Amino acid sequence: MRPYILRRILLIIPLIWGVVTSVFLVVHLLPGDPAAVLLGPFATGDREAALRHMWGLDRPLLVQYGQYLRNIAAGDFGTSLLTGQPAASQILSLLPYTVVLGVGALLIAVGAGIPLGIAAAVRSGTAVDRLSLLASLLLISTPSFLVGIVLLIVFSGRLGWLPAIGAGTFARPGSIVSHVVLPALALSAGLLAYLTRITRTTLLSVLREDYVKTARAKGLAGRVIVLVHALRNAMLPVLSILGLATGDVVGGAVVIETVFARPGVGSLLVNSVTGRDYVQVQACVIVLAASFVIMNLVTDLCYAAADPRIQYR
Amino acid sequence: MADILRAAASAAPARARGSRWGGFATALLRDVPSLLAAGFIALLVVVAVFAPLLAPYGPSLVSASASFRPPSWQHPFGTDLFGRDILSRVIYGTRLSLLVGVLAVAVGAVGGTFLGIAAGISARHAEQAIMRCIDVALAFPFILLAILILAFFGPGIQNVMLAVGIAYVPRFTRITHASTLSLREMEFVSAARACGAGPGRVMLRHILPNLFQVLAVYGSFSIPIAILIEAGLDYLGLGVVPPTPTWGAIINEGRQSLMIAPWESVLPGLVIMLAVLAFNLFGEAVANYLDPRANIGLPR
Repeated sequence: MRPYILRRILLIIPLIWGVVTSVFLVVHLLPGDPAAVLLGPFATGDREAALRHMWGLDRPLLVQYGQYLRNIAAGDFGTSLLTGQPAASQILSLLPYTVVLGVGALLIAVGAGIPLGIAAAVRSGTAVDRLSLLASLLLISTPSFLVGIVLLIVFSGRLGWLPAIGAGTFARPGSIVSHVVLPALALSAGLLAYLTRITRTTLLSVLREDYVKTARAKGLAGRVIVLVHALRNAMLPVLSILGLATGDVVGGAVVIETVFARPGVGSLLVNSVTGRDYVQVQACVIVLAASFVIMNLVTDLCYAAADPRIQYR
Repeated sequence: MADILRAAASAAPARARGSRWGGFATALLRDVPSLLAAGFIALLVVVAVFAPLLAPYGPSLVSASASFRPPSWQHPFGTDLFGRDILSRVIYGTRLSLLVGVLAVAVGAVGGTFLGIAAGISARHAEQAIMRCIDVALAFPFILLAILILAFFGPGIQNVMLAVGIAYVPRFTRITHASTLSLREMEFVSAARACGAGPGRVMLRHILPNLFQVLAVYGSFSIPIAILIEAGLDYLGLGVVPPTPTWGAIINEGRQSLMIAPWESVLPGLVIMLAVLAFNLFGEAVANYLDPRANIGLPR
């Protein structure tokens, strides 16, 4: 177990190096030129050349790459072209809001999706089961921003129960919670539906196993069989899917933060793309991708803890 | 030896494609939800093809006196700030959104299949190099990869299509690579190699036809996701340039007036939802028909 954990943790180092390098390659090798992009279509060649020189884009690629790696290793992601602030400090100041949103959405999706999936599996074949299948398929097919828009219109606009925009302040925890409810619901909707389906499917297949028959034969209560014997095995595929789905949570946060005009790394990314601030775009993409890699690692480790069959090879 | 030659001769298993599609149509007719889904997709295609004939107004026809009209018989989806008819914009948007969704998956499928087969039949170190790059690409959440590419391509409809397509390449590579790994151990591939077929011929004539099933299933589940991602990019204002009407772009235009003109956002949003639902149901029908055992819900 210990060597497996160590190996998985060490494996993310080359992965994050790969992420950092591919962002560098996209910036430097794609046809777009940051200087031309920033200055727009009416810029003169001289001004573009001056800008490229200022950013060091006229130096050999390998020299730029070395400098870039050294800076990032030191936590320096460059200076935002729009605000003149260090890109890293802008991200750090906004990261807590994105973390609150992501954790909130994951809690809702897991806390509601898995129990709903169990309920559907236990009632498999009934009208309740068919209804939940239909509802979950409908929710999987709904763009998250539409869920957000409808929640916004109903609960902030018509009913006025919850604030529409912003994220509150950490000085007043109540305001953080009231601001995160609707965005977290919108962000969790698709994952919740997906977890419901997966939990139902895997639990149903586990319930057909022989050891479940044995448990039934020896007279255990149905609830004990489902919750104690079957659920733990059914959770393994759910866990591995949850790991991959954290990517959708990270990506979805970018969209949902924009719907609710929430401060966060996602909305910072969108504003930086619109404002052609390639330094800030680079920094946001690296941080978001790295957080996905780390969340994936955490779920993999949970998987290993839950399944004693996983061994270090 | 004769056996091997015969195996090589029948390398690409010749299945009667005609009867296969006939069987699919029969299976589709038997299942009501799949039939409804196929019908809705057919409707969307008709709307996309005949958009200029079906739209009651021009997609960019401005009318200052008709600003923010709620849905009525005259304007079934209402109008926006500029008095443009939302239904007409959605109809024209169907063209672009469907086309971008389908073409993006095509780009991803072609690029990914080529890389996947190439990795599967090349030497060990080349395979390792390709697949480690794919691992890195998969470390980016899907929409983030598309945003990163789009940020440097700049906005525009072709760029959205390319960005989503490129973001799909690593996914298709991984799927086709996995299938190629099992195919390359099969006798008919060794036989073809023994008969002197080069890597190009092995890829195109012997491996590719046998990936049909995997590609059909994964491809049909990818189209609805591509439509969602494209709508998301346009909603964020990173995709097409105004006044180009796509489903996502129309909703983006309604952001400022969400509380006074909710129809501008909600009705196009419902169209996206129905389209994605139809493609998901259709994908399930394809998966059930081609590989009934592999149905584990919807893949991501």
